[in-house]
Amino acid sequence: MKKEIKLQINGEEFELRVEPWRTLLDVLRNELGLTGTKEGCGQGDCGACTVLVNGKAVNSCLFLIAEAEGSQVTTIEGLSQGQKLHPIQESFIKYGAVQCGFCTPGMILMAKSLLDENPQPTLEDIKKAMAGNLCRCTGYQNILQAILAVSGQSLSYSQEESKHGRL
Amino acid sequence: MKPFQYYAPADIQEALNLLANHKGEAKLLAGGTDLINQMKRGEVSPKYLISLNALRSLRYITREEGAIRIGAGTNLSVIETSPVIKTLFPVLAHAAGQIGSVQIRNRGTIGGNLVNASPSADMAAPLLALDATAIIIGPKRRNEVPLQTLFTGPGETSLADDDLLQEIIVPILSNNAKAVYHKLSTRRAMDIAAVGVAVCLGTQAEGKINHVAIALGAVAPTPLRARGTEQFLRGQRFSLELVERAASIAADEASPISDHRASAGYRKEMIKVLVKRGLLDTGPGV
Repeated sequence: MKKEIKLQINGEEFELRVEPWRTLLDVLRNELGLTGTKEGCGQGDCGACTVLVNGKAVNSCLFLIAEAEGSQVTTIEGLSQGQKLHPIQESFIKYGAVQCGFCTPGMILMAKSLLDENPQPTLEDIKKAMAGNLCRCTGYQNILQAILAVSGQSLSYSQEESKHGRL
Repeated sequence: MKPFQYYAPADIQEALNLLANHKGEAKLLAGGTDLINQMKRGEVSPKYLISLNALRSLRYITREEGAIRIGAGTNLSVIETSPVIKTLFPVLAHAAGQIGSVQIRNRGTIGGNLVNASPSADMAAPLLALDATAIIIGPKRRNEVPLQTLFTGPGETSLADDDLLQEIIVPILSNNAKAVYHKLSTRRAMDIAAVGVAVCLGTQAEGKINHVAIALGAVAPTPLRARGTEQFLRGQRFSLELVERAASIAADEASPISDHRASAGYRKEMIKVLVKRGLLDTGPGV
């Protein structure tokens, strides 16, 4: 039994007819071909499926498509403007925050959500905000650096941190 | 997920009618961060899903004479950052911020956390320690009940098929009382409490304890108050020795299980540690 759902994705209006038990993640990827949003765990633990709904970061794997009625959704595809990358995307490239790239869309959207609300986050603020986004490749250091850099700050190690060689 | 019929009622009455009409075959959907997972795993397969997310009328934090009223549909992220909550009940803002991740908290609700009734629910122990009450509504009823009566077992509540948790009421603390919540978990985020301890304490002149509430999470079939420990502490003069004896008594009031997070013995030891920590945090200083 399909349902009519109207929503806006990356500024474009969509009218869909889909089964209500499908998730936003599934519809984005398999109905609309927006494969930038990834399925990591499918259960809200890894954050690879993060999208913004009405400006708020959510796990799209737990978000029923019917719940998105009348909403504005932003996926990673909505961040760049043609050839021009978003500053967060530029920063991730500059700081080597991308290895396999699977976590990256979710990371970038979560970082955008954080910076929209708090343009000058501390390192602790960033760690807390990004806690729902897992990366198996980078060890997180470059990701944190990239996000700090967007806010115009740089990572300075305290004596303690540099002694242990980690953040 | 198995197919279901989806409803997005425009008001609470419509939601109640739908629940009543589909008695036993419907589930209420709030944030979905627990329910959708359960449905994906096939543990729950409602024929009808009634979404509460469009209902503005369940999302509020209002300050009244003597109490705060929180709509059950209020997001955890809202509770975490609410200036009213941070001022009057910082323990609730802290507890909400301990749940999941930003993404989870942007969808999860206080009502959902309680109704899902995990023994380790991070909102439960603090609310129990604050003597919170719950408003439950049904087709023909509206009751205010002590929050403790909601929890009947792991993942089980006293709610009937056609009941809806509408609101949580938290009485304002007296000036001398403070409350804290300590959550023990392996990870610093995205983790469930292996042990959760909430302490609310008020002392008068010379450290005499005139108000005490201790709630334990993740160490029994339901979140619970450590009533024996409270009775032991009430009226006594606050001291380190008293605190350590109280911590031991609290551990004996719990019946933790061993699971992949922790053994029962470790949980008992950690109850002592966290109860002591909570009492020292809220006490007059030793």
